[in-house]
Amino acid sequence: MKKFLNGPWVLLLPTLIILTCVVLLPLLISLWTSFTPFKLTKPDTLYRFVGFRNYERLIGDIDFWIAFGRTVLFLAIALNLELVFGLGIALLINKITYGQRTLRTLMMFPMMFSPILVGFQWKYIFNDNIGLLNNFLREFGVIQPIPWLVDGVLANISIMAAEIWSSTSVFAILLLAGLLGIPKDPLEAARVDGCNSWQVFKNITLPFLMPFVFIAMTIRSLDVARAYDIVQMMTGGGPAKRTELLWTLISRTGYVDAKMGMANAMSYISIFLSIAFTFFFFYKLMQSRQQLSYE
Amino acid sequence: MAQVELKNLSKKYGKVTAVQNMDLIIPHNQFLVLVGPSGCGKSTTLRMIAGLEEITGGEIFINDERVNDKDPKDRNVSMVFQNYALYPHMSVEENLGFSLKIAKVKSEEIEKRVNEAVSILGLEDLRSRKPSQLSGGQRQRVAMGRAIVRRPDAFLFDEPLSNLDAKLRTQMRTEIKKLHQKLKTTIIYVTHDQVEAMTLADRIIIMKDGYIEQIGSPIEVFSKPTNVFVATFIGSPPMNIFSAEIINSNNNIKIKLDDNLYFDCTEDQKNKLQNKKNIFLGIRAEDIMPVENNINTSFWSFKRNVDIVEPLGTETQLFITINDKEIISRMYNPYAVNVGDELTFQVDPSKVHFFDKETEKAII
Repeated sequence: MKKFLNGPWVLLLPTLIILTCVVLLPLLISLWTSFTPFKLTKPDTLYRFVGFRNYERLIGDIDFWIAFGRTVLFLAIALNLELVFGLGIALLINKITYGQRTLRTLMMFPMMFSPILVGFQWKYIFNDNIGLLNNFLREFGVIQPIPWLVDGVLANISIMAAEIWSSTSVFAILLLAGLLGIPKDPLEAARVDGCNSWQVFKNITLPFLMPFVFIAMTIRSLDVARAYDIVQMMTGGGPAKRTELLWTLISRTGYVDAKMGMANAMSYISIFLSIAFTFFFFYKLMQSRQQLSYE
Repeated sequence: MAQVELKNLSKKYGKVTAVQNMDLIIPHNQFLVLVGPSGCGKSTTLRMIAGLEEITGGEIFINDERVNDKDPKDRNVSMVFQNYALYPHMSVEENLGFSLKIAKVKSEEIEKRVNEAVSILGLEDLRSRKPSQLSGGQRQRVAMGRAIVRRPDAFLFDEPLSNLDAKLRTQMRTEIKKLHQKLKTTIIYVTHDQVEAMTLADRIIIMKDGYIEQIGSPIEVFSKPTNVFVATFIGSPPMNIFSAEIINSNNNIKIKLDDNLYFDCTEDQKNKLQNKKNIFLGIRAEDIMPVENNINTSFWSFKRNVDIVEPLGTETQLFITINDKEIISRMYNPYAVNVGDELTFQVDPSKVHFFDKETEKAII
């Protein structure tokens, strides 16, 4: 015991205490609830252990897996489009010699809005009656209003547009930082070595940028996997669950239906999604850094 | 095989002129060195030849073909950069073969040329290494290899040795010289180090503030500098420069260095100097020799106390003062000298350089 108190454990103790209170305990409690039929309206159900019943039900729950699949699809499409747009913006801004700082600041405007407000604004833009977009299209002779937020496919596209609008600048900023950090010499060497602009980009610029791409991907995959506010504001997961993502489903299950035990079981399954993406991108990040021999 | 020609070449950055109306022909197989202090326009000139810098005025021809509007990739020149500029994500082999891969050369041919470069530069054991696993000298060798495999019309070197330590620099200098003898190509080499310039060049161009100060063989620029700048830039230690006055009385011309230091000049110097009043006089340190006895009467001689003694082994540098100016003398076959000792120094008048005080140009 004496040895224990003198060892490095003593120095780690404050950290351990804080981590236990802030991370470990909530995790354990929520994990426990996922093994109970805990309903917010019936507090005593918290103490009834039902084993894996919640998980078993979820495995057979088609609505849950559709939301899960839609989230993965949403994530894949949104991240890739944001990468493409962000890279384009970063490359263009990198070319500018005058006013670069101002543009950099302007570009970050969408990030300064609360996602709730972004959702609200885009809901208004896409509204089929009074929305800006349909009004605009009417000028061009599209008489029949397009049901942007009602049609299953269109609603998903609309939400994605809002998501991409608000977050492409994350990619743009990170990739611009990457571009600014690329040494000039190898780029010039490649030009003298016979590369045209595309070949320079593909063979030299891109390998240098990859670590930044994966950092941005990691950050954004965590962000998008927990997408809630914009969807909740624009469609609320509807109509008829056509835009339901994991977290809108979980929050409805937990707070509307008050089935907190079930909601927590969903969360635990969906957390694996985030962990999987994070792991994947970190692995790629390490790989690309090793390529550049930073380690 | 390439001849590079610059016609009236200029480069301006806004109002700042980096290179001013440069005219130059670099014949095939010549090793040309551009040398000068920082900011003299030498690197800019090289980068314009490579196509990395836009040309403000004038023209560049490679093999009689105007290349002003050609991209770097279409000029068939290769460049070795100061910071090596290797591709960090590629192995040595991939770095060497990259330009050929881009040019869609067949893989057997790439392999053949890479092997050739590897054996010329002694990179056999490093083929699969990444640049970060190489030392400075090895990196520079890879950078040169990358230039060699392309078999370019001309090699451009941009201060390639300035990031290496002194010993390695000397070694690589020899390697570059050997390489030139082996490859027989035009080389344009930029440096700020006059020793590199002297040892490597067939022809040296000394630049300052965007202008060419002098063009010539290493021996020419050393023994016949056309102005004070070249005289002090080439040679180490730099040439001693004195302010002097020409005293012309009864057709007897004397050079006055100091109130009690007058020297006669030779017959042909008389012709040069008779119309001058104030001049600069230049004497190289090795031409101010301390002597013990056997004084040569046709030489200028004077006595001075030694201020500082710097023994270098094969020679000792002695610092003396003439007319409040610090002067360096080189003593070959040195013997022990103490600070404060009075020595007799001799100067061969035929080794003295004269420069106009206003234009700083050599008086010929």
